[in-house]
Amino acid sequence: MDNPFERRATEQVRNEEAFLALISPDPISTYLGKYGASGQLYDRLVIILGTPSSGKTTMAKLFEYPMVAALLRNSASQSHRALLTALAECGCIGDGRPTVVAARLSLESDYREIWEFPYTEDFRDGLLKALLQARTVLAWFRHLQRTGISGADVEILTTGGSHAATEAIGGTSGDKLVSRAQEVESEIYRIVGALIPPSPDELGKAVTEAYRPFDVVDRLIVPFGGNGKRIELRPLVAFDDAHALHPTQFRNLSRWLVRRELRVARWVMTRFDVLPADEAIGVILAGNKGEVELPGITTAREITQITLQSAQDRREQRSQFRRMAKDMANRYLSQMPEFSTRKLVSLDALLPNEPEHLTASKVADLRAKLDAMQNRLRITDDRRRRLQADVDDYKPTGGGLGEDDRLAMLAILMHRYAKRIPQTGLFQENSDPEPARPLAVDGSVFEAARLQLFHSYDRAYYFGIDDLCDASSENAEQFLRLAAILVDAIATRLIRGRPASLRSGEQNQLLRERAGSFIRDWNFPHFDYVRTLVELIANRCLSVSLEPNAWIGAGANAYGVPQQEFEGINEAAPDLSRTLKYAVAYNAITLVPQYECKNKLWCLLELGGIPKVHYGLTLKRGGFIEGTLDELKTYNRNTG
Amino acid sequence: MTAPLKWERCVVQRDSDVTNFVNAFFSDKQRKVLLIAGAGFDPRASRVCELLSGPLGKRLSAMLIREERPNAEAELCKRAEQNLRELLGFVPDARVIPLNIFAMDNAVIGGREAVKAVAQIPLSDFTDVVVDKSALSRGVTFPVIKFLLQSCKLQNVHVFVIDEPVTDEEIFAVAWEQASSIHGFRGTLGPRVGAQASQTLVTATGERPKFGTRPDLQVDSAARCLPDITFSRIGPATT
Repeated sequence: MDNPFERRATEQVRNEEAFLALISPDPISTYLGKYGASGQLYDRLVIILGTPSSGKTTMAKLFEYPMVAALLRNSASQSHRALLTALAECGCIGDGRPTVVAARLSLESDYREIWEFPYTEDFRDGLLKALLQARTVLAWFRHLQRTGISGADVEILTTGGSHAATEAIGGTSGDKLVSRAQEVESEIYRIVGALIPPSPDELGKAVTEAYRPFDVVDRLIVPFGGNGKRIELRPLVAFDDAHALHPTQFRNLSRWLVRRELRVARWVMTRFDVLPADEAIGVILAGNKGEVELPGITTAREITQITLQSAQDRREQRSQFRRMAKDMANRYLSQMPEFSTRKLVSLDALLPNEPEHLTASKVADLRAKLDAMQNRLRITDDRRRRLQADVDDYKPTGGGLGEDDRLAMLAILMHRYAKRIPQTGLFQENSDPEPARPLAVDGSVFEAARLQLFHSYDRAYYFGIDDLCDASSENAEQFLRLAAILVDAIATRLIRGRPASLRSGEQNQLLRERAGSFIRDWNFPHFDYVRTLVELIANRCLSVSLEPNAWIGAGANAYGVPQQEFEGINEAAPDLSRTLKYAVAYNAITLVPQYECKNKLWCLLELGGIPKVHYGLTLKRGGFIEGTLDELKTYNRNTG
Repeated sequence: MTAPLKWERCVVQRDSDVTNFVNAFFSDKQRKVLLIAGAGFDPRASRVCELLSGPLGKRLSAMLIREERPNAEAELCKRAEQNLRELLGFVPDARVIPLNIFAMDNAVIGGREAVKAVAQIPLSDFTDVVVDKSALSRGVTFPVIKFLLQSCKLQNVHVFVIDEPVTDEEIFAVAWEQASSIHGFRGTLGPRVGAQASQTLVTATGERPKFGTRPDLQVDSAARCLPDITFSRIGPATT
């Protein structure tokens, strides 16, 4: 059975229509919409930062000319309407015509090699720029060719600058532009592939002569429609995976692309780890402020920076991601005949959000423990009845309380009560003092009870589509890979003729299995340090979360360091800063700066969704253990 | 007429033939040999050097490559030091080259750096160049041998391997997140020009994402091994 959840859509789906069928418009509108409407996506350098698989490549691919053409071809299709609207919002489509010819260039191979050449930095930069420009030109024309527009049909509208510069790129005819780009690419590639790069004197003219199409090309004029009509397209290039460049190359590239005189729209898409640790963390702390100062570049107003994961508006981000993930899951399900033929195209409906309560024998065991606890804490029957009545009055959102919930909540309240009365009261027979502070029964007690039942009685804890979304750390690929195991299990049930829905216990077990295997398979830079750090934080959070009185409420899943102290991390703990950079880049930890609690500002190191599920921690946010940078430093070690 | 494939002009020997070959071939007083070998933690690091030093004595020079990786375990560093001492015992004036496999930004640069280091050696001072790949990683050995096959116009090139699968099984590669071709073996993988042809990518990956050896690594059994295989290109290269 082919499970599309197991593969990365952008990389493996080659057919435009098939690709479009899988894409959710939400991230496009959310992250790019406002910048597209104001033109900021095209008139200046755009830097898009995000964790691996956060959707950067998908975004860029959607803007590519063949995709836009396919969308317009199928504009009558209901399923493409939302995408069309999103692209129109971004200014990529106007009046039912494409306005942009975009190409995505992955910088993963070849380009970093240039940094190792034995030439001056300026010359290496020149080679990098020439190769990037040549390949961009070739990509534009390849995309146009795919929609039936040949190079000969394309005319270049130049910026009107130097005639020599225009001649150097091959002139204004599409064919000649392509042929010159091929020449430059081949010559530079010869150097990239050589065991030992040739000396500068041995380099051919194609490499050493000026070649600057980005300075010259303003628009491409191409035929559109069948009546000889021609339209102007703004050229756009998306340099994807820019983190693969050497940091200095990245800076130089950004400085070059930031120049206002460039008419080509340019995006740089990268993960956080392209930046040195201090700057990467700095960017996260700065968040999405539209136009922020990029480290190393002073002309900040010339840059649109879009951070796909930011510390601001986390609640909104979470609900936005849930929307997008559900939409994406439904699109994927409709690609699977096992599901679509049965009209099962909503993952939400297949993952019931109903807990399986404990069996009668386990409830009896829980009750016996509660009785013993009542005696040990010297709580009167009357007090117990009153506490129980408070519990019974509580109505959780979207469901009722089971007997197991009631008993576990009562246990927490009894411990809280015992802590809030004078200690002498415990030793007086039939004494029933009022607690110093009233005992509230709220969602945090309910959540804490659920967590305790999970750890004590293995009652399902992670289930339902929202938990699945929250466990994905707002990362689309992580969501798909987590969902894949559930979808597989559902498909198996369908094949065996059993009801499609997965019980909460099964969901819980499968999600935990997969989370465990993700962590075992971590294989990113310094993953062993990250794993140790995550494990130490998780174990501390777990021990606090399982305190009998659940003083931390729903549970802890973060480590808090006073904000001011944390800001000195690069000087005080550079090794920890490096580990943290990769932990953040790979969703193991999320930094939540400026978190206000107890009249103090904290920077939280919140565990990612996968570690939370693996170590059995709450997915609810906000609970953290207090710590210090010094203590955290001792966590930065490799015990792998 | 097409040029012969590179390996068609090679002599392959195994087991005791290797020892016989070394003793007979390298006893010739005219032979001046450069050995390129790894000086890391691998227990096989010094065996070929020891074997060659017998018949060659002072006619043996060596370039010992220490592959450096970030956060190497202390135990492995200790073993590497011990191997280096042994190697220097056989070739006291050997050049020891520390070779960074990863750049500061974690890009893989080992192969390129290795070729750069070998290119600085005046190969014309030698009649034979021996590469002992037993304790060198793939990404280093392949570019170096390719470079030597191109550069050694008058020298013989020999490749020695102590084939010991048990030891190989115990050594885990440091897998990096980004797939890349070995330096110098990219072929036409990159250019967009004429990219219409289908390409099949066969990757070589580390089995486990872990660098190091298990504690029970059988050092002694590996160190006792004789070279299993040599490949020698004897005679001047042809193009």
